[in-house]
Amino acid sequence: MGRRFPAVVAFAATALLSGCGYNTLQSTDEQIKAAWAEVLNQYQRRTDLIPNLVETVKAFAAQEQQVFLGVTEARSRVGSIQATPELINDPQAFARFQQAQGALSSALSRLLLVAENYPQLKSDRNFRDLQAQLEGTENRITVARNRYIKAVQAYNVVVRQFPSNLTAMLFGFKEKPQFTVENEKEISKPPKVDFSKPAPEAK
Amino acid sequence: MGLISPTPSLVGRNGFFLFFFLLASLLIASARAEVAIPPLTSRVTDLTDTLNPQQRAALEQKLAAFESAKGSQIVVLIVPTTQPEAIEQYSIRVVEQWKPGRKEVDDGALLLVAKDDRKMRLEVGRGLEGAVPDAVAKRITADIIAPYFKKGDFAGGITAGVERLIKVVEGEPLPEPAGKSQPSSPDLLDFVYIVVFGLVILFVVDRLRGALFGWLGGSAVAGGATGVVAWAITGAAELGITPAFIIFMLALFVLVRHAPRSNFSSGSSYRSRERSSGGGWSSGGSSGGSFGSSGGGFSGGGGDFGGGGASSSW
Repeated sequence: MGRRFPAVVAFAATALLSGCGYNTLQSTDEQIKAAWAEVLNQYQRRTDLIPNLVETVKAFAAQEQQVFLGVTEARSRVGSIQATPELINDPQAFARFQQAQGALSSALSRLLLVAENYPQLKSDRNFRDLQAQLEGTENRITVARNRYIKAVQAYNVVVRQFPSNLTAMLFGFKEKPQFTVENEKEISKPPKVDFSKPAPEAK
Repeated sequence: MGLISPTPSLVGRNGFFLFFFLLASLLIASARAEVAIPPLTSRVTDLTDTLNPQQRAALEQKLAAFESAKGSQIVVLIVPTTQPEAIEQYSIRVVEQWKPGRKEVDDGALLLVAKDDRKMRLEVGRGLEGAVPDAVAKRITADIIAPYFKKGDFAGGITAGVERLIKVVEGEPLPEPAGKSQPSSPDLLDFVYIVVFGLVILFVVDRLRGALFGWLGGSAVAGGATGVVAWAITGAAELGITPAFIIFMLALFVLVRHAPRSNFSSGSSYRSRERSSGGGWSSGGSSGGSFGSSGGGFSGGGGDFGGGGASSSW
């Protein structure tokens, strides 16, 4: 009996290291890719909405040049970052992407805030539709980000946990970057309302 | 190498820890909830007693007729409040649990009313985002429902909103509705697989105990290893906390605990390896993970939501 014991250990080791760890790494990695693709997809959808939205607001509030400039600049900065699926393997590029999208978020919320000052714009059907689309897209981004966070969490646990961390080391699976806390704060805080400037007259 | 320890008592403890790890993760998952999501038992769930029985029945009948005609599942939920969460956060949690709409078609929708918050949301499944884009969802909530709600006519507002939603979805080409039991059968099949697999293991080991006492220690090792493998595979498939899996783990746990101290043998562990690969296959094959959500004759079909829709206040 005793000499069969190594065989048991060998089987158990095989099951633990190559069996469970490896397959879990593969499937969680694949889930991250899918979740990340959805995040990119929704960010792209938001970027695509912007020209229409800016044009519509311009028609009613042409004098708000500063705000339009802010949105356009933030949008071009987002566009300059290659939003590829490989981004999740490069923490620095990931952080830059996050920052650019965060800047665009705040520029957009300033744009919508300006719209509050123009009753005619607010009741314009086209603007209302665009606003609903933007809100819906922002919500989809939040949902997609949350799902990405969960997928990364599941994966990172596998990468760090014994014994699958050995498998991960062996096959070069590294921890994936998570949406950072500072960024999370910036995005979840409500837009600041600035009353220092007198509100422009409604047209 | 060191995880499977050479003495049976430690093997038993491993199974023990595994069991409590699962239990703990189950508790954490449920403790995170803020406003609890009510179980899905009918198409209209009213936690505020706003609708009277006749209004409720009429609404449910309308939604049931629509589902049998078009296949699309629309559900209504009225809660007092979603605080501290935003209505969007609560809403996505509800549809992630209820999963209205058919699997793969994703043609579900939820009309959520948070009465005391004076907020509502129309959550639209992925498959309906073409027929009901955010702008249309916004119009339904803000232009059609909100005026009724402002007058305090909740039943009228919900009915008018649902009628409009039905009209919009009717124009969308969707797959033909299938038999009612069809959406949930794959999950049931997985459940049966896992239970049968667990019973087979128990049975085999029990017979072996009668025949060859010395094999039991090895069986316990194999049982533990099978558990770990199953845990790894099902965990990846987001199945880690389904009732079927808990039953399966319990069976293994009992098996491991019952193992008396004895020598190892590779014979029975080899036998169980065949089983373990079989179990991995059957439990890994399920991806819905929504088994057991049915309560009173109505359940979600497994529709997927991506956060589309619109919120309005009144």
